[in-house]
Amino acid sequence: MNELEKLFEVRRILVAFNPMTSGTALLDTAVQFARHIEAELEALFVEDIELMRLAELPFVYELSLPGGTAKPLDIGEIERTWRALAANMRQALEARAQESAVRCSFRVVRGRMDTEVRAAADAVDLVILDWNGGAVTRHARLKSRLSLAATESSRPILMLRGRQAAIESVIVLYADAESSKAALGIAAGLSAKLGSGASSPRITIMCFGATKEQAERAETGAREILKRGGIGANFRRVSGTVELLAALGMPTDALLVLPESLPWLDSGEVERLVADWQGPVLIVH
Amino acid sequence: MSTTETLKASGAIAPLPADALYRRCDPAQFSFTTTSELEILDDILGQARAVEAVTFGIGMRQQGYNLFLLGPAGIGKHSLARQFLDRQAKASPIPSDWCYVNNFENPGKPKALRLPAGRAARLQFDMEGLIEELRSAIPAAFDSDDYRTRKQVIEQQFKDRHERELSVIQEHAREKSIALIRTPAGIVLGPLRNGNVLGSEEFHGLPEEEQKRIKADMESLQRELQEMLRQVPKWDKEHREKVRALNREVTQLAVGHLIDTLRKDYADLGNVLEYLTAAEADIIENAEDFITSGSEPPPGLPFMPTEPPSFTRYEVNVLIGNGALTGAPVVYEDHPTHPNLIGRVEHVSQFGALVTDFTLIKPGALHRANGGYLILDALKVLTQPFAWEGLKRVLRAGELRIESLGQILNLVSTVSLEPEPIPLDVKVVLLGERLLYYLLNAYDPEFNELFKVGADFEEDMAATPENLPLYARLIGTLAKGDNLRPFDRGAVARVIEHCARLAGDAEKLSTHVLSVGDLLREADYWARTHQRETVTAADVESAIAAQIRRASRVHERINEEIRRGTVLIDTAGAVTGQVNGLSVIQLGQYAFGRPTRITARVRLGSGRVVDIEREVKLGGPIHSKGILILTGFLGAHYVPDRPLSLSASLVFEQSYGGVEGDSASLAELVALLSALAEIPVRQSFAVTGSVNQLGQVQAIGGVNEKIEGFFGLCAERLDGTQGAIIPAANVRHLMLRRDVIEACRAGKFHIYSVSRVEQAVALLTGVEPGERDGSGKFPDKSFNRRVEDRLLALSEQAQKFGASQAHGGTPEGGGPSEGRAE
Repeated sequence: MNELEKLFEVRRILVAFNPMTSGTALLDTAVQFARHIEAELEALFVEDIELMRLAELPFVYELSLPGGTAKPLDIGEIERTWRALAANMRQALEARAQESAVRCSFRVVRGRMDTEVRAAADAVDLVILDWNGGAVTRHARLKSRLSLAATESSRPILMLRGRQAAIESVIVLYADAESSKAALGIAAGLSAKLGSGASSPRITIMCFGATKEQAERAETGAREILKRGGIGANFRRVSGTVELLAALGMPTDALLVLPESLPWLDSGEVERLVADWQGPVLIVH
Repeated sequence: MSTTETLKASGAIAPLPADALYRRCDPAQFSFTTTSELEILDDILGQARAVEAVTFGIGMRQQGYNLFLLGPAGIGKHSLARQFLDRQAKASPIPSDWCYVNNFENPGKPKALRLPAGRAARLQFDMEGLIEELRSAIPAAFDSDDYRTRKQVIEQQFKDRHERELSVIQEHAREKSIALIRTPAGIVLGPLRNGNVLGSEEFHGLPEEEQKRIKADMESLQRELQEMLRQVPKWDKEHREKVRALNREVTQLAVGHLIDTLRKDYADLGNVLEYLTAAEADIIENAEDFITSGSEPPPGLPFMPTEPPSFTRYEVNVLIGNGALTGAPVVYEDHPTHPNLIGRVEHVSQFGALVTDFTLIKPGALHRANGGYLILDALKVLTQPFAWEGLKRVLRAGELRIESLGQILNLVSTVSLEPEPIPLDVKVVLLGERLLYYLLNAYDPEFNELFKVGADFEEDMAATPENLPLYARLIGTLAKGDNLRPFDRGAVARVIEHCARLAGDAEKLSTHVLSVGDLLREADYWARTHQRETVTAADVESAIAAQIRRASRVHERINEEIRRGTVLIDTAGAVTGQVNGLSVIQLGQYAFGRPTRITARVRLGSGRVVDIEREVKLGGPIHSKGILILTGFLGAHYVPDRPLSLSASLVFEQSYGGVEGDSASLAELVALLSALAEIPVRQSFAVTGSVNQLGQVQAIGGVNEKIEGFFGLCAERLDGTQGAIIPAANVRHLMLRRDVIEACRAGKFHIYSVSRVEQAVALLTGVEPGERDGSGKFPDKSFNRRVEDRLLALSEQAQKFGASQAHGGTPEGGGPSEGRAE
């Protein structure tokens, strides 16, 4: 194990399900990911306590999708739905994990999603979240995920969009800043875990700066880091947000690795970037 | 001229000369050595009337002028029909091709397409090619960057719209401290305080004003959200329509130029162009079929196999392809069931259900013959359920509508296809026995409307000097047609002689081509057996002998039983009231004569001749008629001024089957007269012939078989006294076996022809019949005198009996008198 691979030593993965929206597609992807990196999978099924609380209020209605028909929120029905979903999810996880020789556990908790995930994240090396579900708008969902990543300083967060094709390439957004180095290291380590030799995902380093000079400096730094680890990669220099977004394209089989914060890129631009990305996104603090 | 004078003048008492017993065909009259030198006979021999009718029927194109060729089986109806129709068909135009294609608007009613001959298969091939190309062209079009980008834009527009509207509401919610939370089925709104949802306790802990405000805010927001969510299905529909329009546009680009190529190829066929337009629209509407490779099993049916999308609906079902024809079709359907005639819609089983589509429409014989001719065996059509009705229906309607029997009879109610009817232009030629033709004429009123032309086949032709060389050519043609050895002149002459025998007339020749052909083939077999390169008369003779031998088991058994005395037939001596009659038994194709003892008994009675066969219902009506004629003859000939006062009974001894026909009436009359006259009849003779009330002897059938039948019985004990008496009118029918002729020539057997009863009486009894003199009396001791005296005696007895009965006594002279055997 080289220096870079040590940065991405993942033994336990937490996959958090929103019972309202997460499906077995997320489960499949998570199990396959865990199999590739030889990690243990811990599934967390969170029953949203806020719904329970709302159900106590007589004037709260559930508006159906689609159509918007209003009906009283029935806590009994919600609990029955949760139980059924949890049982199905457990069964599916165990079956898939057994097929893929992945160790797994399944846990049901009741609380707020972000609180429970934060609490559970302490015991794992990587958190997998579902892009779908949770907040009503994409924007709100994204804010929630990014907020989670920002507050959970030590755990990378991998956001998946349901069923994911095999990762063919890893794209790292790298700037000349400390936070980027961790992202680069994790990307390199992950790439090594996901395959060996020709089968390893290609790594592309997007060396980013507000100016060409900054981008050049970022490339120099990245090359040095990877050279120490003996890892080959493609390098592209991009300056300015517009050029960055154009250079990234929209591949669905590429994993985008982002530092939690990037100089010269405001939160709105990060949100836009992540929102438009069609593949998985790994946010590293 | 008196009867006796007639007898003497006609010389009928003398036996017929041997030459009169057989009409020999002289081989020397033929100029050829073998039939290999003869030209093929293209004309139909001896069927001028039928040929004329067939020519007329084929020439008439108007509806209803279908043909019925009537005549016995094997007469050559099928060959003639085929020969004429083939000739006519070659000069007729090749009919159109027909195919069925999917009706995209109503798949239950497939459309029929008419194309020039040979182009249906081309269209089928072109459509297959089109679909094959589209299976790669359409996915390629949908896999293009351009399509993906445009679709992504549409998707994004939809998402953005959704997001935008929700974001506005989300913002309003945030401003009012209200949370929007997803549930499995929708969205819930809840009051927030410091980022946490308020529970009941916390909410009720708020000031009342605050609670009211929160409720009002939530209601307001809920209405706003509801309003927005109600729009979602509409947006979704708009989105789907945009995607569909894009798909249509992309498919149109992929499909359009390919279809246009086909349009150019079929520019002259409006119906095909219409079909191509409909197919194009369907392809565009169902473009996803060309993209997806399979489908998920239906929910709850995981065992159901998933199949790739089917493109069957774009196939072309070539029902009739006439590309290979050189003229109009001539079709013979040897199994004319309803489906085989009209066509059918087949089904395949899928998960226990029977399903079908237009590709499973199968043509019938009428489809294949459309534009040409269809030959059918009438009996087969009539014996197949609903085939006759179906045939009449399509001929009446002038169109072919495929309907299953189940549909017609409302036996099944499952949804099936209703293929578009196809116009029908066919001439149907039915082949059948005369009986069928006349029965249909009598009992089916539609028959005459639909089959206006009857072609009646002759069963024989005149054996004139002009016809014999033609017949020789017919023999040569049949031999060549069957790849037989050539027949030499002698063999041809022998075949012709046998054909006269088949016709049952020395002056005729049979036109039963099947029998002639059989004889030729069997003669060829014997020539091969005898290692001859040419078939000779001896081979023909062997073939005839073998035919007889194969069929004569029953005949020989009957003769054997007669010789053994089981069946009583005398061939010597004389017996009163007993005559050897002759009957013909037909077993399959073999007919033979059988001598039968006929006896008569007379007694006082009321003038009635009892036909015992009739009494026990073994006698047919014609036989009974013959017996009644005898009564008429007796009354008028002997005692015209007195009532007949006899009771007579006539019987075919040891006959246990039915008796029909009047050919034994001469024998019966002689037996009756013998019994009356009490004069014995010579048993060395057998008699055949019918009589009328005037005592004239009339012709009968099967004269050759009858003579040969009696000869066969006598053959081992011929002493020169045996013979047969036949009607004079039958002399021209004589074509007797060679051994019979030789025996006659040697004076061992005699054949007499008679034209009156008296001639037969004279031959059979040796007693002069006698003729009434000027005083109206028959000569003393004449046969007729003896008969009349007996009848008068019976009459007087009857009068006495009647008088004594009236006075309550019994007549003198005792009971009735009966004939006596000597």
